[in-house]
Amino acid sequence: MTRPVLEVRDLVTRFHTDEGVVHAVNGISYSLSEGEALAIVGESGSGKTVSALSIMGLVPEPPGRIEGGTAILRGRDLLQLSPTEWREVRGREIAMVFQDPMTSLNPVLTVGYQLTEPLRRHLGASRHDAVERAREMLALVGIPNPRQRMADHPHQLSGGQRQRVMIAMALSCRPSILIADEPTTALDVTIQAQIVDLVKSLQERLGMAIIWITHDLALVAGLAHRVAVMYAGTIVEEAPVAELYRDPKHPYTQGLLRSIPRVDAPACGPLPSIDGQPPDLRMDSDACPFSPRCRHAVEECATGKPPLDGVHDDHRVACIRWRELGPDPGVGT
Amino acid sequence: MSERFRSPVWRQLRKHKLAMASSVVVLGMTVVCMAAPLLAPYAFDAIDLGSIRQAPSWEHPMGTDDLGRDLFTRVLHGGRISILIGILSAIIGTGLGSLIGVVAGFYGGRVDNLLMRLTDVVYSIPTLPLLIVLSSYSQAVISSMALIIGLLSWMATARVVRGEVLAIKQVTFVEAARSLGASNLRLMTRHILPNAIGPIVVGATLAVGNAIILESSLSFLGLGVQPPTPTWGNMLMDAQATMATKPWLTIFPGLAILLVVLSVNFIGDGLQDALDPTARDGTP
Repeated sequence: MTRPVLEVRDLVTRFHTDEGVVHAVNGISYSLSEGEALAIVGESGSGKTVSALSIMGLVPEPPGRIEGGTAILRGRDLLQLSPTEWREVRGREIAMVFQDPMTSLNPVLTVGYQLTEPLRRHLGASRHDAVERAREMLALVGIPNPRQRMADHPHQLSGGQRQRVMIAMALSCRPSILIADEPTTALDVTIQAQIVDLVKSLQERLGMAIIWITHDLALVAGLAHRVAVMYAGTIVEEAPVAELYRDPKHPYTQGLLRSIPRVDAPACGPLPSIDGQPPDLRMDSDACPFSPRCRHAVEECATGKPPLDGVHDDHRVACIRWRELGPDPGVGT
Repeated sequence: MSERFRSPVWRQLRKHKLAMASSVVVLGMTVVCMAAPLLAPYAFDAIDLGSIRQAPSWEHPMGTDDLGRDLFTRVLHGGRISILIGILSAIIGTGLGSLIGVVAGFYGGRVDNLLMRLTDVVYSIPTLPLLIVLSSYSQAVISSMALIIGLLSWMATARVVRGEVLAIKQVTFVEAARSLGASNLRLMTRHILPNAIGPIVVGATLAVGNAIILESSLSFLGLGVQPPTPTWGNMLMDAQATMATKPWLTIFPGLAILLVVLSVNFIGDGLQDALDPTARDGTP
């Protein structure tokens, strides 16, 4: 749990569109230890997906461009790789599961073909070995009757099964990092829980590190070791999961947690929400990005982007006032 | 073992009765035409001025033409060239069109612009003058004629395929395949093109008919297959003037073209269904 497998430093990704430069990711840094599960939480447009695509080399170029930073995987800076080197990393070192299982499998190829393709490519497995391995993977992700399912086409599987197949594909070459980009958003609630459990148990068995991208803070509680909260392309708070829930320091995190319904809290009126809209990412302002919506904003907040400040070793928060604000009375126990 | 999940296409195609019947027709006509020198009752250039423009009879099952040549014989001989040119040039044109379309659609940007403008340019050149120029530089043999016609009939396919690719490449499975390390070439050939097979097959079947007609225009201008060697196209051309009075001269070569084009269309239809896994009924 201590050796970092991936170190992202000051990652900057921008999109140069006709309507201006979109500052999708503004210098985020995090590290991922071996076998760790890091959740990146944020609302739509907060840059969480783009930051993941950046370390997969999948940002569409143009209009996107990675304009700064490093992402060190086992001593190599991913952001400097050639296209050929990227292909070796994708699927082999880092693999990704996408949001919508209905569209992330190729409709005209069989499950078996799609499963064996990366195996044969990355591990140079013979057809026979690849088929064997693919079948094991299907069994591992809890697909009954893998032998038959191999001959099926994606439309013959349910959404949950397809996501399981996607997970099997992603993990087939035993990558050291699995990026899960909201893999449960398109599924219904019971299937969501199954997929979360599946990924958790696979992590225990295979030991890969996970970056789980989601907008659902509640979902990651049982899954992640650490949570990074993103807002407007920056990480505003990062903490071990229990601590983040118990003692969130950033006003945005506090707002997010207040907006989650709780079983143990008395139901009184509508759930609180955060007023206002996330900022337009085409503006590159120097202010704290959350300050226009922040209840605790002071003049000073507009004068500079707050740095990530260590509350203690592994709890960091990007707010100049976190010390004076203290614990949020609305959350925690 | 691996066959189990690799080739349900043929099995599916066999279920498509019309396509199978059509395959038999096309295959049968091809064989019969290829064997024309053995099967035909007369020589294709045997002029018999004593029996010109005769209606179908027992002696001449499809009648005779302006020079008293047996039409049945000429339809058989004509098919040798027409069928081959039709199918070969459809393959060439569709192949080239798919290649250009998929590259343009996949890479987008400048590559797309360049290839599509090239397509526009070739499209805007009237086919016939270009055909004349090209064929004056080559011999009127089947392979070069098929090549020329193929080189002039890829544009529609290229445009259609490009459009399909633009849509398909947006679907997540392309990015998913990329995220597992697939190369661009692999993405194009294994992941994107098979998803565009429907319009490609339809275009190819239409191209067969067009090619047969185009070849006839060339022959008509004296640049394609030279008389007295018959093709279905030049037989139709020859018969234009007498269509009203001697209909059999147009009907039989026309029927032959119709039969081949229709059969190829049905085959295309069957192929399209067979290649689309979601159209398969029940379990494979």
